Amino acid sequence: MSPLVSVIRHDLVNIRRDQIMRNLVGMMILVVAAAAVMRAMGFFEPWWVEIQIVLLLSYTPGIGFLFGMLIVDELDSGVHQAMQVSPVNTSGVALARIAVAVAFVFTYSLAMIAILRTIALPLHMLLLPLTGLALATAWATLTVPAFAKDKVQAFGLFKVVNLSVQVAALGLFVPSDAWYAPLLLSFPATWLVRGLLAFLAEDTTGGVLWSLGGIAYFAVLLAVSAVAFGRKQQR
Amino acid sequence: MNGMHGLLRLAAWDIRLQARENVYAFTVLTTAVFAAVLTLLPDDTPRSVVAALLFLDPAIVGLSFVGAMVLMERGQNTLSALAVAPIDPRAYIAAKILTLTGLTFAGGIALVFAAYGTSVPLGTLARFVLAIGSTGSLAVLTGLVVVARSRSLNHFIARLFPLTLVVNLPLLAHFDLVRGVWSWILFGLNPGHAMLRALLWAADPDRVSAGEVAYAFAFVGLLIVVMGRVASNLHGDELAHPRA
Repeated sequence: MSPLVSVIRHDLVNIRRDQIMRNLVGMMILVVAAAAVMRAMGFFEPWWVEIQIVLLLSYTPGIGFLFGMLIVDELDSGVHQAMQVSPVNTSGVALARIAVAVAFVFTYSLAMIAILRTIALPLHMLLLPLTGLALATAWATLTVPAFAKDKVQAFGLFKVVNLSVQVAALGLFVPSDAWYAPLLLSFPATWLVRGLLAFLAEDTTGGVLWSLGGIAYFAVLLAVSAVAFGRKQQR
Repeated sequence: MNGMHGLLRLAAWDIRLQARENVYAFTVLTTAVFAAVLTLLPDDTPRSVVAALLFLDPAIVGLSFVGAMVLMERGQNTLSALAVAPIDPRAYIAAKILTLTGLTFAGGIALVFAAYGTSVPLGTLARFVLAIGSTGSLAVLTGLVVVARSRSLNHFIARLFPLTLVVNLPLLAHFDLVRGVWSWILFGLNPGHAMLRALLWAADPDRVSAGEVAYAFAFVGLLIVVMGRVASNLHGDELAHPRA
């Protein structure tokens, strides 16, 4: 078995051991089930697009944080140093973790939209904004271990990363002509929310442009975190 | 070590640690975002929104930080050092409550000023001090209980997930989506309901009856005593037999 596969298997064992998967997946299923029941019962009828977007924004950084914390734990305990003198490629491990987190978030987002049917868009229109949101997961996975020295800083940093993604939900409620509305564009998730809303308004060009903008913005942030993480590994 | 002297030294150490770990800087950043939201809310926004925003994070800021701090101290063998120091385990817990509730106060009151402006009435400020002090202390104690048997930060977060979900459910009653007797049947024993009632009383006293205020503070007070006892036992055990 390759060292990389061994590390990922070990991650999954850790995650299972700490009840993370059980609690996390259980909660995610519960949230979708509760939303589906409420929708079927006719609650919050005019608000389901907004609710769906808030739900999409709410867990993407969180999943990234869980995988990022595996790296922080290794940095904290010295396992990371041991890995650097082992046959394991530490950058490969980080990439594999990001891939697992992104795949998890992307699949869940698609499943949630398919079950709730609140966003009636064809798959090819969903791909761009959901790819962008999945990048938020990758960003959180790398940013937390890149800039945090230990668990406490990791938690504090995560709160900031989390808020910087979720703040995009405000864009759903503030008047578009308010003087402060453009300020929300300093957060990349806002671009993706605008992309989704443009697609829903049948503005395909706007949807593509906003979504690509959000993806590019997250890609730049991800690159900065990747460089910082690389430097930290070399220290 | 003298009880009060020990507590003050532990609290001073905690403050240094929190500053070194940028806990204050992170709290300033997140508080600034919440303050911006509160400032930009239209003037006719119901006060229940202010209470709900406080409940979402600023009023319970210690819940997560205390877990991360205890896990870090455990990892750095600080607890082993404390185990051989003449310190009452209750002082260790009290120092965390004191410093992190202080942080909750600072953030929460800053948000009260953001919501009401600098001319916030003294009565309103006093109500918020009482409500935020209670919710903040309960949050820190809950974090201490949850982290006591957590093996890692991810384990701690995994245990917080369901708890957070349950505690947030009374927001349905807070925004009148669940009303009347159903709100009490469904959420009467949920600490989130009592905390939200306390914060709503602070924000908009006309919307909360005297009975509800008594319920909110009596329930939160009872939970503080119970959680304090449990946290003291759990961490007392750990300080007597520290884990690596």
